[in-house]
Amino acid sequence: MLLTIAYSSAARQSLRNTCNANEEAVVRRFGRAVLFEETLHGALLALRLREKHGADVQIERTEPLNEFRDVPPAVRAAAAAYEERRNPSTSYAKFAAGTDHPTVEELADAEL
Amino acid sequence: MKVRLDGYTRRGRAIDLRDAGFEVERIAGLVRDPSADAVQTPEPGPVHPHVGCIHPDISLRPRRALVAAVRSRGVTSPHRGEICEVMADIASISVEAPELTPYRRHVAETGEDVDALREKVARASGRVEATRESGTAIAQAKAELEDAVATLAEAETEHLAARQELAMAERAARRAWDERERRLSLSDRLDNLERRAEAWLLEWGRPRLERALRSLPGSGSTPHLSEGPDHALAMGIARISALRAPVVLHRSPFPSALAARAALDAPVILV
Repeated sequence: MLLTIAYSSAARQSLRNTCNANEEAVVRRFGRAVLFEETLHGALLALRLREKHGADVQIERTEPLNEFRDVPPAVRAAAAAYEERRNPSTSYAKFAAGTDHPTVEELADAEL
Repeated sequence: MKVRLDGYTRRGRAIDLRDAGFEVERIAGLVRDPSADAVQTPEPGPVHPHVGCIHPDISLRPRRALVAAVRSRGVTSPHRGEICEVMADIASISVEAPELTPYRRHVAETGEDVDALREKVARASGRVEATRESGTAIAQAKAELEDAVATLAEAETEHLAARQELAMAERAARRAWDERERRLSLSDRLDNLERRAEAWLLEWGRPRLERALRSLPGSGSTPHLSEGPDHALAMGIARISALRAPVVLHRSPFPSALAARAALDAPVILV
């Protein structure tokens, strides 16, 4: 999908107008951001906004995350274990210390 | 104030030109024009576009006009200081970002080169396989393969470099987007403050306008800010404004220029 974000009032207004006029190409709307369908029509709408507002429009291509395909099992296990922790106020850093779960630093340095 | 036009010469802060039969728009235009010699007046201020020329068919934006009138008296809302601060913050934000388009294009183009060269290597490699038996052809096929592999390696290096350059430029752009985001939220705040300041100025001006309207020769019913009539409102707004340039009046309810000047508390030209 095409995540399109507006960074000025004028770009935000154009984004709203585009969404109102092309609801079929919109997957989801946020305040000043929108997810356009991953179609050539979605690309046309996003590029038109960029043409009009230049760097006041950011376009990113996104896709749903499949954790079973993209994320190593150790990370999935750590997420599941952390959400089962006994003490809700424990930070992940504390929780992972002294266990086999990866540290925040290890995770931050590794690309998905 | 001095008018010297088509044989008519008048001076003073209350000028009556009703006997000359001039078009009201002509006189109002000459008042607005600082270089006009025929009508010499102080330069019109920000209220003048609203009530500088008053005639029975005037169409007024009463709220904006009243805000301008209050401001002309030097009244400032309590939001003024904060508005100035936010404006200064906005002005201090630098949103300069690298232009990403050439980087994206370079990545796409070098990527296409790599794809094309990979196919070329595959074809050359296929020919080497096919010509395994024959002696002279194989040397040529191998040379072609080596050549293609070398070109591919160069293209891959260039593509990698292009991707790294794009990634660096995108990091810089993200910082600029952070700044743009900050600027946008500040400008939303500024809009909000300005709306509140205008509402405050309106409330300040409203009772004064009402008093002014009561003191003017009325049209019977009391004029209302949201209902008009605009003609009466415009005279009330002129009265509470601090005006240096004259109000041009056409078909006014005043018997003389002096009476109009006294009622509007402003220099006037009757047309």
